[in-house]
Amino acid sequence: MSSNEKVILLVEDNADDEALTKRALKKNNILNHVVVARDGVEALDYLFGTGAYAGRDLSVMPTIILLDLKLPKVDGLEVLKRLRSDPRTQLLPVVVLTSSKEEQDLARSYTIGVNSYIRKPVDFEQFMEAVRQLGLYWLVLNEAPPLKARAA
Amino acid sequence: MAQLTTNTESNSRSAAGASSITASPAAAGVYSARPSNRVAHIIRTWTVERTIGSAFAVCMVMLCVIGIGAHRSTNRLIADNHLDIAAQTEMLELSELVSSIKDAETGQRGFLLTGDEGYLEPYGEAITQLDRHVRSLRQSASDTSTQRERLATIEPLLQRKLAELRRTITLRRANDVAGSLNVVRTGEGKALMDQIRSIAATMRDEDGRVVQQRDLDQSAMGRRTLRTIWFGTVFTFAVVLMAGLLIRRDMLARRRAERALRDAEQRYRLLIESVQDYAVLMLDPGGQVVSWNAGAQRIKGYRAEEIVGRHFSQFYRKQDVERGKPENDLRVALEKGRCEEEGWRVRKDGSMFWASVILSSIRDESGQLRGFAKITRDITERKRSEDAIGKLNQSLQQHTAQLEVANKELEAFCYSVSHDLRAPLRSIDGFSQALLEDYGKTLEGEGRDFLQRVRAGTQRMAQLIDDLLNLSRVTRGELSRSNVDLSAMARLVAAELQKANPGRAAEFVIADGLMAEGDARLLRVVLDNLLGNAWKFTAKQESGRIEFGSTGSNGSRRFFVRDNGAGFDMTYGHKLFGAFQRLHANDEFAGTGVGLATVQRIIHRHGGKVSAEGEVGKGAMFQFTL
Repeated sequence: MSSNEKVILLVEDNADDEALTKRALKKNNILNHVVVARDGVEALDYLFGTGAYAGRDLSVMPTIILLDLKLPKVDGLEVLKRLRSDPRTQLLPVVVLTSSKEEQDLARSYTIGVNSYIRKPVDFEQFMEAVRQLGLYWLVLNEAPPLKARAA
Repeated sequence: MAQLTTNTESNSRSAAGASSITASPAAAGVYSARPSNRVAHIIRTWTVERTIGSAFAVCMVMLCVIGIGAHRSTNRLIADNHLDIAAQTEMLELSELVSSIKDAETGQRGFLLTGDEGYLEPYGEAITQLDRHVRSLRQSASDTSTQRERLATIEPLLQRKLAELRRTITLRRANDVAGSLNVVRTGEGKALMDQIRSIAATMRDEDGRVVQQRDLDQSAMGRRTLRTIWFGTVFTFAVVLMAGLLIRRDMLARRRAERALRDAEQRYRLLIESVQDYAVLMLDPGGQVVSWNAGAQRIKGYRAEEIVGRHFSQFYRKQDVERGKPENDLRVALEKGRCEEEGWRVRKDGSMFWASVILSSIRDESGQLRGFAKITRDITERKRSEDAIGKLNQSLQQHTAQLEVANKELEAFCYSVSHDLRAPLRSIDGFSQALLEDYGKTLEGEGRDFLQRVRAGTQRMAQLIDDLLNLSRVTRGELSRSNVDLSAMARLVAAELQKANPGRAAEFVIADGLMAEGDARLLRVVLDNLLGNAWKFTAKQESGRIEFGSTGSNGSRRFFVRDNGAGFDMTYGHKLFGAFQRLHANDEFAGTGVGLATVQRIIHRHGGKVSAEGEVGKGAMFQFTL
């Protein structure tokens, strides 16, 4: 895995959703490496090189983080909050990808500083379309924040 | 008033108490205006008393002057009268003196001519008389010096005359007739006689003149005295009259003031006695009841004659009396001037009432405690209401708390529904689709159809969940009202609908300037549903027409959404707004039956009403107010 390959961090506790998301990515020819974290702690471990990910090369940071909100142990909003309060991760693009569009979730996510909020449609075809647009936008169109600032 | 009469008849002490007490409000009323009134009063009484005093002094001085004047003038009159009498006597004596001399001379002549001693008899008598007259004159009137001088000159003349008479008589007795006649012929006797007569006449004249002069003086003085008396009398009369008028005026004023005071007192008394809603009573310094009004009778049940003279602790509950509450209340009123409280009190029949009591100490001008005024009101009803309200409030708070808990639970439930209920649906749909895609070839046509049905079911389920969440969401959260441009909002909704189904030829007619006050987010849900429904049910119309407008003016404005679509049977109109109630088969017009229920909830939350009318095949009209 080269350091300039764009990594996707998928934070998702539901195995079905994980499988469907991966399928949707594959069907849309998004072949980037997908790191899956099954709860908030795992996600934070990966990002900060702790726990199971102790000693990980921290120069490799995900290009995009797809974050579910309802997670065991540490929930998505808490993960987002920790990301944003740490200089190493504060500029990472984060897209909330979740089931609900409860107003409180939307409001809190944007308050903490999410870059995008997408509600997973039940209709798999719509879900495919959403993933397609998401990949195209964040992995191709969007310019990532500068590395320097990321390291700072 | 009747109350007072009862008092007076039944208990003289109470009547005295009542009158002295009921007078005190009036006194209190006067008290406020005292300083200036008092000064005015002092000035007024001072003036009147001074006036009366002065008038009396002036009158007495005048009476003295008149009295002294009259006294002196009378004295003078009496003295003058004496003088006049003396002068008259003197004049008479003088006349008799002259006549006695004449008598003596006549006797002498007779004797000289006849030598008859008998003629000497009048002579002798005249001599005796003469002596008496001279003595009398010497004593009496000869008070003026001139008269005395004249008397002094007349006396020697008299002596010489008498001597001449005696000489002739002596000569005649010696029978010397010629000698005696010669003496007469000398004329000396005649000359003496003339002189005596002349002086006596002068003296008489003088007396007459003096008397006359005195008469003149007397009448002048009499006139003066009369004038003084008249003037004094008139003056005194005037002063007395003036003083009388002043006194009269003052008395009238005082009487008026007294009457006003009495009226005021009576008014206060009537006022207090006729008050029905308040027990107004007076206590003496020891706490015995001294006055009682109609309100007290009504509230506490005692008649005046039953309670006057008894201690007010009677009105307290036994346990309060044991705790010394009545005395304590009195002490507070005494120390602070006022004791105000609410508490249970006992009526005559033993029943209790919740009283609002004000106990005030009453002091007279010198600060001496006169007693206490006690005003009691029966506020049992209010107390009960307050208690009931308190209880209601408490249960309301409990309910609110319960409701809040329920709401929280509901919210948590919704949140979990929103997240967790959809995930399995996604799995079902996603893997069905995966099956179709990956193993579609190995399935028969029917198998693929089944999978499609599975997918359709999950999607419908997802829609139901969303609609339900919407429905629950509209009843939660605060309503944030603002001015909303419904016309603009409706155009936005219409544009979105047209964009979603570009092939549709339905026409939107949206009135301008439809403004409303409400929660913009929720009103958007209303328009989404009503216009969305209209759009949906005009789908089978060749030329659909959807109207949004309003009737009525500002106060009772009704908005309406009208379409010429499928309409509905009014028989089932009442079911329209129930959740999950549908009047159309799902394969005819898709839907969950939650939209109108949501609309109704939103309208109701705004305090408005929503209604529907329609006819199968002719369209429907939904009206709502906000």
